[in-house]
Amino acid sequence: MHQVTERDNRRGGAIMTLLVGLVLVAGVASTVYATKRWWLPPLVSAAAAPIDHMFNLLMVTIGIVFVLTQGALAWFVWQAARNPRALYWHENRRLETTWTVVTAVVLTAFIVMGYQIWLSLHAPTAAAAEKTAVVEVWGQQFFWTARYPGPDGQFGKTDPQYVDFQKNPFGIDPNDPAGRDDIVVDGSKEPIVVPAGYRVTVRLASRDVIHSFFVPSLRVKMDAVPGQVNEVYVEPTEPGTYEIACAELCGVGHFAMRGELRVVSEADWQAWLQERAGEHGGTAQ
Amino acid sequence: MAHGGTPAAVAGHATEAAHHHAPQSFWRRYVFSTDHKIIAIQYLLTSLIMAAVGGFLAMLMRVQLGWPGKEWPLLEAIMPNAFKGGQMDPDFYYGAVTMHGTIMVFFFLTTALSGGFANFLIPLQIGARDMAFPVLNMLSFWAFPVSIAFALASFFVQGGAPGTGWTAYVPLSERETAGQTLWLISVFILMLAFLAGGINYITTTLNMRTKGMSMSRLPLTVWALFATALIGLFAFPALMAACLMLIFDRVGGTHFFDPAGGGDPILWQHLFWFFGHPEVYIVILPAMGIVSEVLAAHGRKPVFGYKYMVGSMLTIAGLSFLVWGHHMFSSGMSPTLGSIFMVTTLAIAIPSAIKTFNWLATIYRSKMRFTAASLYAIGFVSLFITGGLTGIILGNPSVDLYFHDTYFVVGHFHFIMGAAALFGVFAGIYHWFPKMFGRMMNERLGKIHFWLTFLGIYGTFFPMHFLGTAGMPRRIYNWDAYQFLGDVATLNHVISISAFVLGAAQLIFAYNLFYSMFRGPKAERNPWQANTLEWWAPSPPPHGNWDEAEPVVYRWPYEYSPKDAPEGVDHIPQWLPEPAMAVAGRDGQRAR
Repeated sequence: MHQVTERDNRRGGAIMTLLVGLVLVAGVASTVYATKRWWLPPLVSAAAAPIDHMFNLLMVTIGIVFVLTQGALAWFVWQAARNPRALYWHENRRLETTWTVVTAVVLTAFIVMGYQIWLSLHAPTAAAAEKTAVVEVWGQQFFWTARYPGPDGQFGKTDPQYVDFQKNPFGIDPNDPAGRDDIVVDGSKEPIVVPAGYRVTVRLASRDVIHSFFVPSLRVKMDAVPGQVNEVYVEPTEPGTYEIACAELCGVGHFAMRGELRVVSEADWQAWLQERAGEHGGTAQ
Repeated sequence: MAHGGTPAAVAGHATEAAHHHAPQSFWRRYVFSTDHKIIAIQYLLTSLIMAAVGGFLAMLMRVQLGWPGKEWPLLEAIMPNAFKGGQMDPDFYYGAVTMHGTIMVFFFLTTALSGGFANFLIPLQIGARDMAFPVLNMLSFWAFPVSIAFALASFFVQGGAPGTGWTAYVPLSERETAGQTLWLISVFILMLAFLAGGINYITTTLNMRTKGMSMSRLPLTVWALFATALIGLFAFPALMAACLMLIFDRVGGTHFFDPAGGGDPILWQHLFWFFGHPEVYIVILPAMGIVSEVLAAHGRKPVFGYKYMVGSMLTIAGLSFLVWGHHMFSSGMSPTLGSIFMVTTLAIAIPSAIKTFNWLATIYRSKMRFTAASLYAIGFVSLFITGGLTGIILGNPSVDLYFHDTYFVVGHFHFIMGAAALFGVFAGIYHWFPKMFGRMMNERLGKIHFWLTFLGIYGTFFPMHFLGTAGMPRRIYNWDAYQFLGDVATLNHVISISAFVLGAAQLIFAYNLFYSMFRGPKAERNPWQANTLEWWAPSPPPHGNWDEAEPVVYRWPYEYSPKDAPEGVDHIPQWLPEPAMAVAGRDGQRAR
């Protein structure tokens, strides 16, 4: 038998209690400190407000459970080092039922709330639908490109036969009147522009591998998958410039796939559309 | 030291002729062995060596992430290709990302737990002499080094190791250099080996239990390993199919996943995660079993809620196949599916919570002996709580949209399937080392190893949640290019330094392991006074496990500190028959 004196064992238990206690205290303290310094970036999206609320609620709940369970663990360990004899106790149906039901109720509440938010993100609300804009965002190794329908609000047809990497990388059909005022913006050279106060539909596509369009300040993330178009809605509220990151490993230049999203006021947006109408872009290939 | 009377003699059962194993050559005995214990040790040691390789890659990644852009002339001198001009080459960085994940998930955790511990414990704990198919067992081990060879070879082919992450998402992995094909072949071979192993474990558990060992008397480790093998039976083929399809795409001109030829890149994600999420449980369930066992034996207290522990493990095993879509909330799949996966994902938190509460209740009013094994088991509970709770945040799809592919996820899964599973492995090694090698490990070194590892793990992975909350995407080679991440430098320094402490602490373990293997004090049959059958066999058990007859089982495995036991008796092993209970006290005393 491996021999340890009672005194040594109590000391071992005290150190373990201390370690778990340290985790508890440092975990809570560092999280509180992090809310000041390393927290969600300031939110500039109306649609995403419920996400932040849900996150805060979840954080508070798991914070309470964290303190209770780690605290119980530390306390039981402290006791376990001092008990003269272990308790012969290995079954209690009422206890099992209680913690199963309580857990289930809490999780069900999260499911119901989470479901409503999930729906609200995918179904446009009536009020927000008044002013809308659409932008096509393309991911490719290793930058973002955007196409706008121009002042007429209609995307022109595209056809690979018109692709010209110097002048018309999207291959917008010059014969289609809807496409003449289309605007293409090379995101590696300048920001992608969207209007504040609009419900903006971002249509995501990819030219090569899977990328993921991540704008932390808008709480938006959606994959750009080759062969399909993914739609995501954003409602930017504050004019400003926000960073776009690629969140899906897309090759060795993944880390450099940084872009910028400029949110402009409604007047600036209209002026920008008029000014840039018909710029079919030109990306270095 | 030897326990009095074999159970067969005590109970008067007809003894089966003892298996006699003729002396074997060194090669037959230690290399191409069909003995489940030798195979277990082969698996365990190989996987620990791989853990060192995977850990080394992690250290290199933390060098880059802690101080992006800094030049390291010393590292350049050692690894000129990885550190061109003193700075880490991004190509190498992404190769390291991929191989770190692959090695840790497949070559370390899965093999250590489902190869090492499953092989060692299943026959010994159910009272069998070996696995049902010993030769298949040997073959399934020997496929493992072949698989490793393919994976490591990718470092040396043109273009280096694949830079697609351990998830190898298409179409990127269709375009990757030759290393990706080697990676796919490696994973395919390994899955085949695991599948063969799993069939062996299931058959052995169902068919080879000794007399009296009903399913309701199985130790929780065996239940866990059995449930794990069942998961593998359904999960591994999905990945094998996906690997084959991708190999065909890459070298055979098919277009299963390539949209240019009518394929679907999302199909890969479905196949991968249909395997990939159950894989998390393939790693964590055995660790859960080990921890339950160690807490009971070292806490001298029966496992609380045995039936609920088994039930929740089987529930987790079943549900694990219904949650894969939560890895794909941002892939553009139908929002309806998203809400369904939210329900199943949060539902799987219920059996996980049941297990956690049962461990807490097991520790409650136990008489814990604070050995290295029990410290790791207690540490596991703490890690599992922390890692499990953040999973509730990620299970909410709308919130997950922000956290998906950020360091929050990295922190979360490293707590659960990295750190907690690792603690399960350590708890298991410290607990069963005496049985495996017939010698004791150094407890003092074991404790120092634990303290450093526990603090190192928290210091490394807890701050990662803050990185993720601040929005730092994972697999980003130079986060300093982003303005919104300007303030995370401190966190990255802390994480890197903690990771180095964590890495260095493992040298203590390596020393302790190899020193004790040859020089440790001789172990008794049952140094922890545990109840399960393996402790009735000699340390280490001979080929065939039992000196004479196989043991007979009379009770469940957690009869610790029974109420009406005589003074001085705090456990009644499974192999002691009822009439012998009265003598168990004296016998127990002697055994000490």
